[in-house]
Amino acid sequence: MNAYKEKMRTRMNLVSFAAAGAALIFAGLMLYRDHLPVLPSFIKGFHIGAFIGFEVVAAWYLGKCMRARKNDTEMKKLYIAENDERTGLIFRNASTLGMSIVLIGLGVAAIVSGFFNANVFFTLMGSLIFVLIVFYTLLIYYARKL
Amino acid sequence: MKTRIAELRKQQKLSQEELGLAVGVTRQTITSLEIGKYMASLQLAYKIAKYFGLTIEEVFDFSDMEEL
Repeated sequence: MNAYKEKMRTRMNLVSFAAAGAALIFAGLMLYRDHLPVLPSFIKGFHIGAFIGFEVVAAWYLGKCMRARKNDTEMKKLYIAENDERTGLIFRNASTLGMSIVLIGLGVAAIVSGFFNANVFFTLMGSLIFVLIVFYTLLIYYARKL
Repeated sequence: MKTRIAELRKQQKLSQEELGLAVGVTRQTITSLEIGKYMASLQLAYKIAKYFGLTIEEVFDFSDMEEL
């Protein structure tokens, strides 16, 4: 459990750092808003929503970790929730199927879009290649590791 | 896979949550094991059997396991 406590402390530091970094970046972008290209209001709303969402989730997660660190039973429950073997299997199965659907979906969408718009085609093809590179890199990594 | 987990747990008047906490899994995993939806890993099977002071074969029924 001590190793998990240490891992949690590192994770809390990283989340705090990311939350502070995101706040600084967002504040900076807001200050220089006049120098940035004019965007549709939906994109601005999406940016604000994503930033607020991230900060709320980070604060919630940090609060949960801080409460767990004060109580050993809560800490054990959190450890179990994170390391439960059935939950791990559920995630692995969902990820495998999800990855197949994403790859097939991107491939089909790229082919279909190629008949209508070159920009959309190259964007989808780039995404497909990126996902494939990430997937095969991880596949090779785990094949060597396990 | 059939198991005697529910029977042994009730004998000892344990809740699923308490057993889960003792062997390091969630209550949902204990439920799935009891109703035979999920097959435990070797490590978990060992922990559960050890918790009840029995062998793995005494807790888990391997008779309906498919042979290759």
